[in-house]
Amino acid sequence: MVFRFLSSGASLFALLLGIANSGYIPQSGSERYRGEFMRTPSSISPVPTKKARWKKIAAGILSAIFVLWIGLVAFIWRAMHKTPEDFARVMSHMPWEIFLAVPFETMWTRARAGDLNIGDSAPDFSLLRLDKTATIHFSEINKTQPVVMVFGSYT
Amino acid sequence: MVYITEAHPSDVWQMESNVKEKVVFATPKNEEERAFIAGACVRKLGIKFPAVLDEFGNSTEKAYTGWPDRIYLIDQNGHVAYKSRPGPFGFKADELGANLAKLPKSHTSDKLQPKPE
Repeated sequence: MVFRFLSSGASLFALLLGIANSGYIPQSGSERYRGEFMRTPSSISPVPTKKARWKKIAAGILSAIFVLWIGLVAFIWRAMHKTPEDFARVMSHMPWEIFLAVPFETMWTRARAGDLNIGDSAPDFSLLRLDKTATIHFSEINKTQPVVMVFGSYT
Repeated sequence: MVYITEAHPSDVWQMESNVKEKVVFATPKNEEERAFIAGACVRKLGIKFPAVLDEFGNSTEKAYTGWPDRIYLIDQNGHVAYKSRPGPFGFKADELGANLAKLPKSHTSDKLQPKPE
């Protein structure tokens, strides 16, 4: 089962690498099985050369890396949808190379897109000023002028 | 400025740059501690514009998806006129400047107009 999964992954990768027609990588599951069932005792199987064997091994390794990479992307994507605290906790265990290994910025931009879009009504809020002198009601200050909001923290 | 939950507290996901810049704070455990860090931020960075503190349940951050940092421009009718991409990649003040310039003059006070360079 695992081998069949890897083999189909290998086909995809081989296509990308331009070696799909090398003749040693299964083109599709159905063709492979048809070949096995139609084989007669008189048929002679081609003996793979050393180079072909290495190609097959390389395709298997690349497929395994590809599958692992997809798993990593899925893991990071899922973490990006968690709360900021949980996401930070996950990322604290990751090496910095993770930013190079996955399309981090694209994923981050999509995961943190939020529900608020251009043209939507801005959600109202009432928050205490840092100096605790007053409570700011957003709708009140927005009545008379546009408002720029900068969300952020120190760290 | 809306002060929200820390991006890189020392007990969770501290960055080397935080240590270099001596911005080392653990996750605040209550609103008082958050206010303390926010105060330090405003003082040390010399932030002049009004700053408010998101409540400890992070309701404003959730409503605006503001973490770790983000810029919004809300027009006088209460509609979102500009929303930056999420920080740190999407935090671009020049984009805000360009969108401020697009607002009708009658909608902007002198304070909000970008200053000519």
